[in-house]
Amino acid sequence: MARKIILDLEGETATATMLEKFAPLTCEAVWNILPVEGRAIHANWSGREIMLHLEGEKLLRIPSERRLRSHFVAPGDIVYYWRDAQLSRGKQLAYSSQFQRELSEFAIFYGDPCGEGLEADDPSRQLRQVSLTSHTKFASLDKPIPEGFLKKCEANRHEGLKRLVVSRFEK
Amino acid sequence: MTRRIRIKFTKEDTIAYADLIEDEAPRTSNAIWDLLPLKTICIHDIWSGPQLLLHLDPPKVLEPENLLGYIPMPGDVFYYYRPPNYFRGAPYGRKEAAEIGITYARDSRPQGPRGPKAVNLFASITENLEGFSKIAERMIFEGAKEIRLEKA
Repeated sequence: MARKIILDLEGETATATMLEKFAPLTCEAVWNILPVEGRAIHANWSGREIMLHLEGEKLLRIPSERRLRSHFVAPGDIVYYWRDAQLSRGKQLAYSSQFQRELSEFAIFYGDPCGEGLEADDPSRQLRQVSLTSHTKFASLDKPIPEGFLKKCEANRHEGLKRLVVSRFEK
Repeated sequence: MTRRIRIKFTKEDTIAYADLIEDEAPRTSNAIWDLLPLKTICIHDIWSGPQLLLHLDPPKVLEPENLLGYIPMPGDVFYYYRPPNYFRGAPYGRKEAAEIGITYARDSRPQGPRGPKAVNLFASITENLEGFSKIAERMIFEGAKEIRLEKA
């Protein structure tokens, strides 16, 4: 039976099914670090997406599995991203005390971006240097995605950072 | 003498000033000037990198003018109009939208889900961009802020 995870964004929850046949190494690595918690940040390049940065002993460095070719995603897709520290330019807040220049993160595409699901015009996500960056779609939110969770994701943009906990979902 | 817009987040102390680019965008400059003062909610863009936007309600429809060639400079202030039903659904809860965008750092590109947007460049922040940028970047973490634009 497929493994499931549950995302708790300040009390609003959604479950997701891991894509173990599609991305077995990533699913196993993610499963082994759960639960993970941190403050979710809204994307600035990719539309309706929130991100959870992995830090400390939870930071993952996993090569891509079935690397996305088109940079297109659909609402509900959950993608693991990693990028090497040398790709981060300048002294942006995102690299200050809370976050790191080396980014290891879950990207949770929560809603219809109204543009055919174009993902990640963030230039660093489009690099092809596999030694410096990787990404793998490893889970998908179960449909229908609860309305309360969607609204909380959207609120992440208007109200700022929100605590997100990702755990194993085992009945 | 160049007309200037005073820009202030209502709950912050920082004030920045933008000069209208009247010679290159006369119609847009005049139209926006006539809308001032504006007090509204300003949000961080989710498609364009380091850029803020504020919606003009009701939408103010302006013709294309002085279109930006995709890559803005930090401090550029521009106008964009999206006609009714241009996009599927109602992005930002609006079937039709007119907005002002403000680029506050390098690497921005005014764009939407389908790529680049043709925007009317009509002003540029020429005083205290640095202070403005610090607050703008904080909005990623703190969320939307009320902003006031008025004639300086």
